[in-house]
Amino acid sequence: MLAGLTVLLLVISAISLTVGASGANLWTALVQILRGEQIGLQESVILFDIRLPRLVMGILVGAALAVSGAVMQGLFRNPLADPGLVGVSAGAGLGAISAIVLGGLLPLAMREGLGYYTVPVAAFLGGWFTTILLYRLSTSRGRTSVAVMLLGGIALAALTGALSGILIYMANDAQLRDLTFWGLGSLAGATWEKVLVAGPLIVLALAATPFLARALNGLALGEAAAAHLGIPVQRMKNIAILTVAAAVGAAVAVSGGIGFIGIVVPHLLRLMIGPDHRYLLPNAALLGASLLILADMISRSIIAPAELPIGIVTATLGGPFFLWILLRNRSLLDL
Amino acid sequence: MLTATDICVSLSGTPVLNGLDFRAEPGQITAIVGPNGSGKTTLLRAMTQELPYEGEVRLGGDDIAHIPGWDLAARRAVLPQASRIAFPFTVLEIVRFGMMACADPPPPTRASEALERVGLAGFEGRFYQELSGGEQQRVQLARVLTQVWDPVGPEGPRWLFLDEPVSSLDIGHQLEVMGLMADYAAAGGGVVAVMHDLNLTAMFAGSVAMLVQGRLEAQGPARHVLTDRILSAAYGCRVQVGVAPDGDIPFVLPQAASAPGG
Repeated sequence: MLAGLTVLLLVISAISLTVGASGANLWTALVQILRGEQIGLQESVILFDIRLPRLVMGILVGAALAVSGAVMQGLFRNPLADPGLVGVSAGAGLGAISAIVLGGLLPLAMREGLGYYTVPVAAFLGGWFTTILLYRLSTSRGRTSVAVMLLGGIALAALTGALSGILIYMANDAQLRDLTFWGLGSLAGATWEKVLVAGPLIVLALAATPFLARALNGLALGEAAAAHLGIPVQRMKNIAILTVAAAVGAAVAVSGGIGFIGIVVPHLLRLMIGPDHRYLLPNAALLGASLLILADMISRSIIAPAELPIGIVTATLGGPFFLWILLRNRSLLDL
Repeated sequence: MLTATDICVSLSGTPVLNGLDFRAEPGQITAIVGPNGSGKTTLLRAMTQELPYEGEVRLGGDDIAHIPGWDLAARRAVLPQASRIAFPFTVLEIVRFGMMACADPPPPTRASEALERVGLAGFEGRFYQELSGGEQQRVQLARVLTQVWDPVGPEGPRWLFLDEPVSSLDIGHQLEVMGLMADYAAAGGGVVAVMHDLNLTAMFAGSVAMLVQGRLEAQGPARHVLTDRILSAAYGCRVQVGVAPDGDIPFVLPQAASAPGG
């Protein structure tokens, strides 16, 4: 499965590099590169400065969203938990918007110390705070209530959305330009700088998941049962929350709110390979990356030369899919 | 040896256990019985650290509060009352989770062996969520068994803590599971079980602890604890205990009992 998904990702990546608004024949260019031949300047710029950073960012963001969805579902012991649905993305968005609008108020030393990382770090903090709050709200005595989680998530998303709205009103024109892409989510405007900013956080989060897999399997039996298996439950929950916050924060900081990847990918994989997190998490990273790049290709080509925000594509495909999951899991929603 | 000394537990401000002492020896089944709400499950959950408690619980002489989680997991396994699982795990996957805690990797056939012991041979590929309550209970028991498979380890006897292990089973499987518990104890392991069925308790338990309103009313062999006087007082109805003709195992027939004032 892992091998198959790797091939899928490579194939989709190669296609993605060659599809787009430019008329240049990039297939030929790709083949030339593989043969070790020189390619033209125009092709080179399009490939390496426009398409490639976008592709790499798509892979990072897709993997981050899918894996954080799977981790969150494991943590909440529920297949309906998704960072986008329960307000974690909104919290990360609020963090990012605060950094853009209010970043000027930070002490100069801090601003210079964080540099490009101000926005992702703020998004990470926003996502972290929201996740912790949500977990505290919906869990009492080791039992996580699905109803409280979903409804609490709606409340948190509304609240953070409102705060973000206030900040947007306060923003000046330059800041507004920076802010516009958040609403729908997009990979447009991907640059190597953004890749370098989001990459480390996402890679760090993905690197933590092999250590989480066993604990998430144990947690599926319930918190008490997991503890009886010798799993340090509290520590693992903290790591899981940090992982989700880091992955979602970094993804939101560079691409805005892209929904549904986190719920669709783990669910598809559970149908195909089962729910064991040791296999689910790495496969989710690969499939999430592939699906997001695919969605990005659709968003770039469906109304070419204009571009549809990718959030619209994932929502169009993911919304009905989510409803289907909801109907399949009706019994889990007993309030 | 398991000893619980001066255990106090309060649930949302209401005291449930008040300075209770309890002990269990390896080599026999120790049953915790008592009327609804007498604190049976609370005692089990306190002794397995699922609830905060005051007092002291020692397992093989060590205070469990000071044994690291991984070490405890190798020495005792806990069967919860009912378990719902959110994801579509197969029976085999669930049973294998028990092996997470094993110090030495067990043979790959261990999970199937455990399933056979609980009467679920051939259930490996079934989905846990699609099983009946009684079958789920036995899958969990198989998982718990794989965790502490050998009744005696290098560090001493191992323990099974079981919360109503046979409450949702039919009589055939009740006898099968009780027999399994008795075998585990006979091989040197410790078994502590919360029980509702007084007759199965009398048949299999070497020691019976009767709880009433958060206190230990009596603990000892079944024929000393399951008496007309103790049972009638504990359950608030007149109970007549009989004795099977071929031994000293007491039995209780509901037909021979009567409600208070009846």
